[in-house]
Amino acid sequence: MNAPLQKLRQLILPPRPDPARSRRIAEGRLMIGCLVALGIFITIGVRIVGLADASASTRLAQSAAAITIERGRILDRKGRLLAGNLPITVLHADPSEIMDARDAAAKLAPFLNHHDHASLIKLLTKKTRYVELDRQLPPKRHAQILQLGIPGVYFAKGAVRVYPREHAAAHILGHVDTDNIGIAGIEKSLNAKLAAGEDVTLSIDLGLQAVIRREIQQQIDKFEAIGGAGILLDIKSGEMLAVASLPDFNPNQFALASDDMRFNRATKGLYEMGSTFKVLNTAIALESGAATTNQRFEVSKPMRVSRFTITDYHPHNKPLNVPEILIYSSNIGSARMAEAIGAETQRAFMDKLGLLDRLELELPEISRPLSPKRWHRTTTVTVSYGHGISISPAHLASAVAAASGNGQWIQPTLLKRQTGDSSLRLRVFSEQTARAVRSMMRLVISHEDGTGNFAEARGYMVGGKTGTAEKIQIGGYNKKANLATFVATFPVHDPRYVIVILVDEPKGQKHSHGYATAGWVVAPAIRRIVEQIAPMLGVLPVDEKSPLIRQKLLLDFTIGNEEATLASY
Amino acid sequence: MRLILLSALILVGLGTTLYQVKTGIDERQDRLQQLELRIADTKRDIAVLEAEWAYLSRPERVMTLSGDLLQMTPIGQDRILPLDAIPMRIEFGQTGLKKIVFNPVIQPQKKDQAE
Repeated sequence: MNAPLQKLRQLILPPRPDPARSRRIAEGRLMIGCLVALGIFITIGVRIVGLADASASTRLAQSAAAITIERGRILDRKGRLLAGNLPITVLHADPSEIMDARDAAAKLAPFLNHHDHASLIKLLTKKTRYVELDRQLPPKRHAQILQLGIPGVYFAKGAVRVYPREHAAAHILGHVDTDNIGIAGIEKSLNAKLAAGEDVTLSIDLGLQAVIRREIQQQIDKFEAIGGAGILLDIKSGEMLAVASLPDFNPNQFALASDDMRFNRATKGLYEMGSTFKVLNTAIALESGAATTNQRFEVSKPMRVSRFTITDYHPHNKPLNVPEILIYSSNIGSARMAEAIGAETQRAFMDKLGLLDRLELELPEISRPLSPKRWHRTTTVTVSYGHGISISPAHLASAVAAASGNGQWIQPTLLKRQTGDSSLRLRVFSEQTARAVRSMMRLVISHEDGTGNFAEARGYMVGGKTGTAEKIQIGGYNKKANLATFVATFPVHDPRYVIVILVDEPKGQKHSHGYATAGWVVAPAIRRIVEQIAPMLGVLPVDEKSPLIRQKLLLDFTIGNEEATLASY
Repeated sequence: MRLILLSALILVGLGTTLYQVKTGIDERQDRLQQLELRIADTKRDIAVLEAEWAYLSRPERVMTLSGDLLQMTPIGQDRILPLDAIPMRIEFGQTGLKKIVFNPVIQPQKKDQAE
């Protein structure tokens, strides 16, 4: 069996070589083959890794270019959008790539608003590589220009700052320039944060803001005034819930606004606040021990202090006690109280209430109050009824919040505070003083002889004080130009909010019997504002006569000939 | 010899895996880019809608519209009551379970009828 097979094999195949030698040759060849294969695989491997890495890095570069950080939004305290970004298309061209500028200009001209044929030729023949043709190209125009197919014309995605609420809170928001850098308001003061893409939540409530703005506007129209301002301050947190200044502007058309419109009367405007200061004067007198609530002051004769004569609008022929001085708004009585307080003490309190320094709000538009360097006797006397010192409405709101709230002065803010936020608090008045002050403020509105009857919003327990001051002009006071101010605290049994409304130069009208005083001009606005915002703020109307409410106030005042009760309105 | 063959096989395997991983990465990166673009587009759309909604829900506009079209006016203080002031009738069923019945007193409005 074996022999024939062996023969067959020898016929087909050559004779076997030496096995040991052939094995060496085979191993050598295999080794070479392996090394070549190894070399090829290593090369491919390195190449693959290299390519993968390269494509990843180019991709990263592309996506980084596409995603630019968008400016942060500004929201109100309930998260409603006040300032945001709207995507737009920017149309630009590279003049060096434009082949026929004349032809391109003719084609483009009908689609562009800001340029005509001639100005386009001028732009497209410029010796630069970038000219902007339209900053805000609507999508339809975008498609049309794309259809023209002009080489050298490009589209870029951009964003424009928009203020969808238009006039509301315009002064607070401010504005940005064409490079999206804040130039006014919160946009300027918090520019760094916004530019980094962070959202900012304000303390402002858009709904409250709109109500207050509308009511002030209505009074300005009714009394042909030149302007106005309003502030709603949360006593407990120091947050400003509404800050309005009129006339205002549409921030989307900032360039059209006049300087007067851009001026923030609520935080930058300085005014002699007049009789609203008597609230502070009363609080200081009670706190410093210069007067007790039932102490009487002589007011029957005009008072002479150096070259001034202080008189009362309605003269009284008998001495008045502290609540009466406030309710009847007696200048002489306030002056006598101030003399009892003394210059040093008065100045110290003004300082504690922040009325001698700039109010550190988160706005560039703030100013330092105008106050005398040396506190003379005349200063002491005039400051008691709000003259000789000019402050902003925001100053007044925060000072009155301290005097009529819980006695603490709280650093006001325009940014939303978290509950339990440690803000700057300073005890200025005792709880007892603040309680007495707001009980008296309540009588200004509820007592029939009070100056603020028109501010009575039934059930909401509004306390307040009117102030009608003649405006300063060069060389004295202008008898015809008034500043009508009203400061209100509500609800007085559980003080939570302070409102300051100011109307600049109201003129007497037929419907007001010729009066342009705060009691006629501003008090009705206070009533309407409180009636509208109280339900929004969750303040419930109460029965003023109920013992539960009465025990929270001081009632043992003697007003006129009878015991005053808070229920007498 | 066997070692060399084995390592060659491993090399082939590694090369294939590497290639597949690479193409997988490519694919995923493309998908990621697409998703990112879609997110950016959606964000732009949201920004537009948000701005539009904010513009249309301006309190001034809503106040005017609610006044003109719905004759809405600010709510009077006499129409707001705390929950405690609403008379509730507590009924005791046979099983002893309490059942609280909301029972507000609704007064007819004469003014509306006159109009």
